[in-house]
Order: sequence, then structure tokens, then C-alpha cells
Amino acid sequence: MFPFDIFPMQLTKAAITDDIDGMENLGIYEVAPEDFALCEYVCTTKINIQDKIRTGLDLIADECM
Amino acid sequence: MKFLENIVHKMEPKFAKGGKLEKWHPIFESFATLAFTPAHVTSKGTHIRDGVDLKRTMIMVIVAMIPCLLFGIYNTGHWEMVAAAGDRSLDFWSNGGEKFLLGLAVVLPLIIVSYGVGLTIEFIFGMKNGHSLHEGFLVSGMLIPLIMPADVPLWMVGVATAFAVIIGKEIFGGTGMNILNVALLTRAFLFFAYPTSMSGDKVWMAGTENTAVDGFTGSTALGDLASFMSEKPVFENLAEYTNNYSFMDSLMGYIPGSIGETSVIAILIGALILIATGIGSLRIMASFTIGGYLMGLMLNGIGGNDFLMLPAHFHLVIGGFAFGAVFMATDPVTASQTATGKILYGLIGGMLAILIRVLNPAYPEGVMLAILFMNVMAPIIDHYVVQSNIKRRLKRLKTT
Amino acid sequence: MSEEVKTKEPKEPLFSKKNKKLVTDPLTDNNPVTVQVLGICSALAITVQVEQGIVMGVAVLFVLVLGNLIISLLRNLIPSRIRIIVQLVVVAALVIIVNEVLKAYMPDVSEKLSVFVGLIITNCIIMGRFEAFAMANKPWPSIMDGVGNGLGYAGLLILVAVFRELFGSGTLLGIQIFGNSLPGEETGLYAMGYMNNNMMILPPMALIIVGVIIWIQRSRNKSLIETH
Repeated sequence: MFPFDIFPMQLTKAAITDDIDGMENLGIYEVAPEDFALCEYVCTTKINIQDKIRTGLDLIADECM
Repeated sequence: MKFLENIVHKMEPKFAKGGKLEKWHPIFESFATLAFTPAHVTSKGTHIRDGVDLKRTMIMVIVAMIPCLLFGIYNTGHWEMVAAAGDRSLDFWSNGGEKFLLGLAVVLPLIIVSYGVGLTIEFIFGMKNGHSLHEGFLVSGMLIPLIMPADVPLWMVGVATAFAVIIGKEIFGGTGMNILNVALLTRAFLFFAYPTSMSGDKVWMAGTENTAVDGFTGSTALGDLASFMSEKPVFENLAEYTNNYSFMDSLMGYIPGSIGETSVIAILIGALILIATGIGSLRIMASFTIGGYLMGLMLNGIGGNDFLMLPAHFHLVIGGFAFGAVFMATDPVTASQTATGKILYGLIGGMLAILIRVLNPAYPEGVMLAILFMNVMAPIIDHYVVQSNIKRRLKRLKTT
Repeated sequence: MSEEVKTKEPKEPLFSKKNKKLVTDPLTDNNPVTVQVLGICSALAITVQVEQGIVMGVAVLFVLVLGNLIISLLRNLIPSRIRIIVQLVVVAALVIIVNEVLKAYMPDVSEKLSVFVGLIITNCIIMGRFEAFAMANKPWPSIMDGVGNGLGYAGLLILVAVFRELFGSGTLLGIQIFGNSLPGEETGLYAMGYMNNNMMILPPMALIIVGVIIWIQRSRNKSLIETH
């Protein structure tokens, strides 16, 4: 489902809670939202994971640039 | 079907915001989405979604529990007959229909009470907080009757269910937020609050008190085993125990015990359904079993008394071990969530279960306590797994 | 105690609005146990029976009022470096008095409370009030503060104890409420299959009851909910 050495759920959680340090530690720089398409497909609670990751990336872009 | 769907759609505006029955919207939505596909449309991201959602997941688990339930009902009926006759050697498969009805009379009220109390509380909280009914209780409500002794008074089940749903779940924010497995919490509450109704040799068969024969006890395999630790064991030695409860009997479930836990075969059918549909975690089930087996072997190595010397594979088929491994430990909310974490969680849980069971005669049902303990530990396990991932990443970044 | 305070009201300046607030606040919105979450250990340990709860509550009330008074009188004499030690000496002396009185006049209750009377010394409420209030206020407000906090603590203790004794042993102050529970000669509710809840006697249940009380209090008064 997720081919990288990354925990998709923990990363999404960090993105939802705007936890920048957490996202960096969990490897947000290695992913693009599209990587989460499969996760989004199987998600039982129908969370828009790609959207959450996009928001997280945007937040980092705003804060760090 | 189309006709029903039309009715539901016609009713919808009444429940929508500003409608007449706005307050009841959560309940309406719960039933509507239970029966029909929800009308949500994706707005972004992947536009094809898997058909599974929380409700369908939960219903699959209930389907997986049906073999246990059916066997449990039959078994309850069988032991009620045994208790009435006071004769343990009664043939298991004769008088099938009558036994099933007897069992049904015991189990059905339990199911009704557990669902009735639990769902009422869920609905109240749902209406107050304006969310739809939390699906989690669909499974818990079925698990609760399956882990009760046949003779437990109904009002106790009601009280315990209310306690577990409010204190164990709603306080933390409902389904998905709970720390402890709700069904196990119900059982633990009963176990500590009303020990005389949850353990000992009176409760496992409905109607033991009215037995026709003096000196007949309704003790379980585990209870008899635990008595090896006491002054006067039920059996002289292990050989006599295995004569009474052979491995095959325990595997098939022809032994007294909580309603749904006795038949390992029925549980395995459920496990296959869970694994095939990808709902239950094979990692947890397997590592839990291996953990228990290893602990059994280890205790064999230590030896000392007949309980410690019980062959390790017996541990896997008596008591609630199999049921706990398949239906309790795998609860996705309270178990570890990372792959490595799940294996650790299962291993430690299985070992603890057998350790408590063997070394503490007061708590023969160590599986319940072990799983509850591991529920509490699961976030810590996850934390370390995630930390190790983070460390690995930092190292990789440094070298490149 | 609280009634006594009310009847004296007309006596005036002593019971100005501010002083009254010192008593009433800790009873509700600033309860030492449910809001400040102090003194939980003893609340868990000795609330199995109402009688113990009352005795413990009175003991803490006594220590707190007198201690507050003494500290408040001494407050300008105590060098700030050794103030904790002085406070400890005062509490210890008062606790020993309480302990001896209990041993002399209520030996059985004293036995049940065992070490927890001695542990009043370490009860956070007492040190907390000395440090936060008596060190900075005149004797009279200090007494009022002691009365308020002591009553708040005792009230909660008794409330928890009522639940635990009622459902755990089926009695209140030793009087059977639900009938006779002796096996073989059950009467009242017990004859109908009711059973005492052993969980209520175990300390974890006290924690849960205190938790539920805090929950109810905070859902009624939203301002108590901390944001972080």
C-alpha cells in the first residue's frame, strides 16, 4: 500500500495537527500528495488523505520559506 | 429495495438542518447508511474509493463471529442439560434441537441486553453531540455476550455494558478514541465487581444450582487446572486431566466455558474470514499465539507442578486464549498500529496471558487481563517503532 | 459548619463579601479536589465508608483552619528560606493532636484510617493553602479560607464515600439500605438477585467517581475547562 519507509498514518496525523517537526521527522519531504492515493482508496473512514498532506506541505512552505 | 430507498430519500428533508425532526438526524443517518450506500460524492483526491467503510468492516466482524455464536448457543444448551442431569458423560450431539433452543433461551436475552443498553447510550451521546451513531458498538455488543458465563444475571450485564461504554469509550470521544477494548472492559468490570458471578464453579452452566446430583460442579477446564496450585486439586495428576478434557474435545469446544470461547474450530473459521477480508490482523493473531506457545514451553521447562507441566499446545485451546487472540487482541483501535508494533504487541500479550493464567490461580482467565494491559501499552510500543523510523531517516540523511 | 457561618452573617465586617467568597468558592468553582485536583490520594484510600470520610474530612478541616491561623499569625516572623520547614512543623504538630484524639475517642475508626491520618501532613491541600494564602493574608481571612477549603475537601470526600458505601456495601453509615446481604438470609433487594459491587470497594472506582464528578462539574460550568 505504501512502498516507502514511512508511516503513512502517523505522517497524516502530524499533518492534520499542523505538527511541523513531526512531519519533518516522519519524512514529509520525501512524499507528494499523489503517493497517498492508494491509502486514500482503502481508507475505511474516507478521510481525504491527499488533501491533508497537501495542506501539511503548504504549511511547511509558508512557515519555512 | 428500490421502493424502500425511495421512502428513505423522501424522509430525508425532514431530518436535514432546519427540518422538523432535526434532533433525530443522527439516528436517521445511522440507519440510512447502514442499509444503503451513503450519498457522499468525492470532491478531490482519488475519485474511486473502496466500498469498505466502518459499518461494512464492523458487519464483517459480526459475520466472522457467527460460527462462534451458533456453537456457543449449542454448547450452552448442552451443558445446561448436563447440569440438569448431573452427568458429564452425556453425548454431545444427541438431542440437538432441544439443546439449541435451551441455549438460545440463555444467549438471546444476553445479546438483547448488551445491544439494548449499549446502543441506547450511543444514541444519547450521538444526539447530544450531533454525530451519527458510532459503529464500534455493533461489534462490542456482539462480543459481550460471547465472553460471558452462561449463568450471569442480566442486570449485571446491563450495568457493566453501561459502565464500559460510558467510562471506556464515550469519555474518550467515542469509537476510535478508546484506549481499552470495550467488550473486555465489560468483562473486567464484572470480574472485579461481582466475582462470584464471573468465576468459580457455579456460573459456567445455566442452572447448575438446580442440579439433581450432589457434588456435581460446573467447573471449567481452566478452573480445574488452577486447582493444581491449591491444596486439594480436582484431579490427581495431569493424565487424569487429559482424560477428562482431551485435546480434541478442547479443540472442538465440547467443554464448559464462556459462551463463545470454547470452540477453537469455530473461532478459526472466524479468523479465516477476518484474514481473508483483510480486516483482522494476521500479524497480531499469529504473534499472540506464538507468544502464548513460547510461554507455555518455557513454563514446561521450569516445571514444578502439574499446571506448569501442561503441554503448551493445550494452553492454546482452553479458556479464552483463541477467542482473545482472534477477536479481542486484533481490535484495530486499541491494538498497536505499526506493523512491527503489532508483532511485539501480540508476542508480549500472548506471553503475559499464559503467565497470568498459570502463575496466578486467582485469575485463571489471564487472557482478558493481558489484552487489557497490552491495550494500555500499545501506544508506547507504537511510539518506539515510530521513533526508530525517525532515527533511521536522520541517519540516512546524514550519510547522503 | 456552613450553616453556622450563615447564621452569624449579620455580625458584619468579619463576613464581608470577600470573606464569604473565601468560604463559598472552594465549595464549588474552586474545589480543592475536583478543580485543583489536590489531595486525591487520601480521597481514593479512605472513602470506602461514609464514616471514615466524615472523620477524615473533619480532621483535615481542623488541621487546615488552625494551621492557616497559626501560619498567618507567624507570617511576618518566618524567614522565607525556611518557611516550608516551619509550615511542616505546624502541620505535623496539629496532625499528631488529631491522631491522638482519634486514637483516644474513636479507636476503631482510627484503626481503619490507619496511616492516612498521619499522611494529612503531606496532603497537598494543606501545604498549598499555607503557601498560597496564609503566608500572604491576615488571620481572619486565612481562617475563612481554611474553612472553605476544608469543607470543600470534606464535602467531596463524603460525596464519593456515599456512592462507594451505598453500592459497594449496600449501607450508609453502617445502616443497611438495600436489605440484608448475608448469604442464605437475604432480604429486600438482595432477595431479588441484587449484589454488592466489589469494584466500588477497590480504589480505582474512587478515581472513576471523582472523575465523573469532575466531568459533571465541568460540563455545567464551561469556564472551568482548561484550554491548552
